[in-house]
Amino acid sequence: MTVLLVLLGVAALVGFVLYTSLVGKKNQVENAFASIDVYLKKRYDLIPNLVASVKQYMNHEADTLAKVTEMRARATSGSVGTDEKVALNNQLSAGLGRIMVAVEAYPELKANENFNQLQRALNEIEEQLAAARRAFNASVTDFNNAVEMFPTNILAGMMSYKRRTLLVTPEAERANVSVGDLFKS
Amino acid sequence: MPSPVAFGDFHASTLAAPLRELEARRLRLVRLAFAAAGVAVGIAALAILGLRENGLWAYVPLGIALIVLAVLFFSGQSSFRADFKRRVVTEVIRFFSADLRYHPTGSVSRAQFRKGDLFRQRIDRYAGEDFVTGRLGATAFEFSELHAQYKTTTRTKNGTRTTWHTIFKGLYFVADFNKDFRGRTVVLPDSLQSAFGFLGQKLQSLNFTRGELVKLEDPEFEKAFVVYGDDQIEARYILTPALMRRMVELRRKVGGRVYFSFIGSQVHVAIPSSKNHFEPRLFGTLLHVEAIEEYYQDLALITGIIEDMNLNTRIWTKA
Repeated sequence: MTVLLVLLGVAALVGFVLYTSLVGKKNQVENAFASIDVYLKKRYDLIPNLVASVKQYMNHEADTLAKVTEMRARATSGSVGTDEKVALNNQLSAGLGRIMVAVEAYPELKANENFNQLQRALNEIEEQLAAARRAFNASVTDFNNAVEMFPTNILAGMMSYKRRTLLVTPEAERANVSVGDLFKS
Repeated sequence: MPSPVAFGDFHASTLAAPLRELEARRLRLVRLAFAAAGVAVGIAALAILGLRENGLWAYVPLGIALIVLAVLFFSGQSSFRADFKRRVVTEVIRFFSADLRYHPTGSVSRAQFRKGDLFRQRIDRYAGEDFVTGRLGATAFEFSELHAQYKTTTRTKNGTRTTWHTIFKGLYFVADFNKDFRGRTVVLPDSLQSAFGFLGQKLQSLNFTRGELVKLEDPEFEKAFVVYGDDQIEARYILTPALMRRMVELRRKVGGRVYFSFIGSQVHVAIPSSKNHFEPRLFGTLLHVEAIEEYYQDLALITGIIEDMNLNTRIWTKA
């Protein structure tokens, strides 16, 4: 009788430990996702300054600047869903990348102290954003391992936890930037 | 690396005079060492031949001679070392870069070593030499040889016995990092995971004293190192995929274990090594260029960490 009780106790304890580790991993994923948001927000804050400081120099990029400003407004409006937000931010990254490449054609802008500061700040945020994305992917991998591996997979099935998808770089961003294309329009 | 010609010129012009003088002193020291060895052999021979009963007096002059020779040798050697470092190594370091300062008897401070947080044992004895500080490009740095030890005392029949254990012996390098950060990220050589794979990684995550285990994407890096940090994102902000490749490369270059810690906007690099760097050799001529070039190469290897880790790239908010 006591043996049975002890066995039950041990089983309950193991179940509890597995349960808490699973929930912890799930929350870790959400937390990591939220911290990407923090850096995205920082980047939104930087964009108006950046656009304002380059506008007077970059006559040929007025189109790109307007698009970036508009995308930022949409992304911060709060009415977009998660998927749309991810897509918007990918486009935003591409737009900012284009501006930074186009800067090469404007020597007086490159020499501008204020712009240099902004460029450093943007580099910094992009670097942190990349780190946050990698941290997110690492916690998703951790969570997915728990969902698929024995013994946590049994509990995960009961709690109907599903695999989460990793953040991947969109095809357009992964392709090499063609400087020629940037100056075509 | 300067061209062999440039180094040869420097060797022939700046170092020729001091090296000639030091070489003469080295030869005197070698003769002293041989003389002392000869006397020691003589004493041993007497002992073997069994001159015990009335021949004890024979030992006295030999014993005195040995002591005198030994005193002469050791005092000569220490001033030879000091002069060699002052007149030759200092010049080699100045030739490497005018922005470096060399203190033969100085070392990275104990507080700095503690701050790096790589070796956490209590330190009972701390010594170092060959301290170099300066700046290359945008990066300020310092390094020295260090030997940190702790002691244990055990009770034996005849009282207590003290044993000294090495915590760290080798080169310790500290440089300004090119990004700002607040927390602490420690990169240690990995012994568990390379031996036990996935299970080893499970065990690593149980190391509570070090903070959270940070799992990174680069499989080669993960095999070589284990990373602990306060902040998962900050650790990745510091350890970009490019820097991870560079760290694996650096490990290959020094050919052994390397420790890194990123703390207080600095990077600390500890390279265990049994070689005593920047020392003159006693047996072997000082006059060959190769003998001196070795100091230059050692210096290039250590300060190369700055280039190896790309610390002079300053495109982020930290100037």
